[in-house]
Amino acid sequence: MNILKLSLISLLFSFLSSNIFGEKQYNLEVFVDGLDHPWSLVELSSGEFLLTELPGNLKLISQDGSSIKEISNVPEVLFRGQGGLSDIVLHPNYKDNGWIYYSYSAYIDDQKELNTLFVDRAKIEDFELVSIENIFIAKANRKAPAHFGAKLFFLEDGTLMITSGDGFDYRESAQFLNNHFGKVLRINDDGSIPSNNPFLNTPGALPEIWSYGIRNPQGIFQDKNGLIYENEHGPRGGDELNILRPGVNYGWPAITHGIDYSGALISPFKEMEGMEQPLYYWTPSIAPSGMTIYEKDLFPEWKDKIMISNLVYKDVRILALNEKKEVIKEEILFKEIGKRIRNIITLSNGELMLITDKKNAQLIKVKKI
Amino acid sequence: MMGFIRVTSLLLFAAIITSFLSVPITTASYTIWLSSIDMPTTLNLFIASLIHDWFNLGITLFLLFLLGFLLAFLITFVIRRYFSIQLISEPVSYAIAGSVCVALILVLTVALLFETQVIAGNRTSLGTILHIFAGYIGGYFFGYFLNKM
Repeated sequence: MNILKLSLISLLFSFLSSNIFGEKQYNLEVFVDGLDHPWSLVELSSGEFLLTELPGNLKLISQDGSSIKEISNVPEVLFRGQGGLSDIVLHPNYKDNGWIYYSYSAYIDDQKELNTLFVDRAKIEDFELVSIENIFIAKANRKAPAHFGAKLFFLEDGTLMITSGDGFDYRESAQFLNNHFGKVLRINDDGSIPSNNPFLNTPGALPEIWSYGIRNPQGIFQDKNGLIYENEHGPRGGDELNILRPGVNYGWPAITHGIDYSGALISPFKEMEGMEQPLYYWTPSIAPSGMTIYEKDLFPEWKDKIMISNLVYKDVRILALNEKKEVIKEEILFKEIGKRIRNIITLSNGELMLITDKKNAQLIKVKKI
Repeated sequence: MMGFIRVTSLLLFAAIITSFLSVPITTASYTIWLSSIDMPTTLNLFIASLIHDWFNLGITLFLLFLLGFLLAFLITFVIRRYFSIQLISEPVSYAIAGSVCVALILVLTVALLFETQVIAGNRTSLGTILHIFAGYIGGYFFGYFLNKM
């Protein structure tokens, strides 16, 4: 009897504490289980989802998560190291034209020595990719399958942002404009170059480059005011959140708040004129992954806040910014999941979808209680 | 007992010497690059960076070299003792063992860590040669003083 009383009291206490003190207004629901290195997800207007998995799987998931169908004819990808089938986004006019865009790493030569980042667009008919068009190949050839970036995002003006990592062993290339290592790139939906890209008139510069001096960007998002936010992995320390502006040099690896994995310095400089400081940085590293800005009404307490999933601490960081775009508060959520979180997506109904990492991974829905 | 202490001390010193010589390769590699893009590098800054790297990268390398040298020098000892190989002197045999050991460590760190080059000073051929040479010096030191015992 005493145990029953105690249980009832503790239940009542947890109910009161979660509601009166404003804690935990959400419920976590495993939506899909048993995934193999999932990386990105996009919600279709039908309520279904398209999911990418690094080994090269593209899956169509039903509205309630009960059925998963493979989409065939996915290009051969390099699933090794950090490479594989990566991000997926819909064209802003997807309802009319049916274009989906996806990024992946693959070999560029028959000898299979060098690889780089690719972006294709295609349509889906009868669970098959058709009308496949390659619209971008990064001029960032590397031997090691690492630091691809590989994030995609359509801006309000209909252009496509692509993040391209520094390839790890090629970090110095991030400071030069004659390659795509360590850059954020901007192209039109057909792969052509927008007429107002910042380096079009710079001799020797690649025309796709929007901003540079970047390490391994894993999240990109444009808010309702048009500001473009990007997060990136630093080395040991120095993970960054930046506001991207055209033509700006973000400093990597000439300036950094981190040190090398080996313990050596990468640079003794943390700031330099002509190189942008991050909006916010994490030391020690959290390994930021996906990013969304919550602009729905279902969870008013998260409204307009930046949400960044991470791999090291296995949680989601919620950042509140003031009018000067300074981070004034960092909260930690979803720690109870206890798994590396690869991505975070806001769904059309205001719920969130979290993607856990590696093998036997899950899609976890964040629902309102 | 004294022999064990002496050999252990020699092994420690060989690893210290090799890591002491290896660290400046990384420090110089990024300092030279920073200078090439007109970052305001100075001698004082280089020395401060070097001291930082000796106490950070240096410790990592020391532990790797210590473990590697233990195996490499043991194998060298066995080969010399039981196969009576007298073609090359004792210091040179251990020097070769030291350099082979460093080369293997450089290869293994790449193979085991996403195929990436974590020791930044080893990203050029010159850097690799200098690391291997540092291993040669460490091994030679070990072999030379082992012979004096």
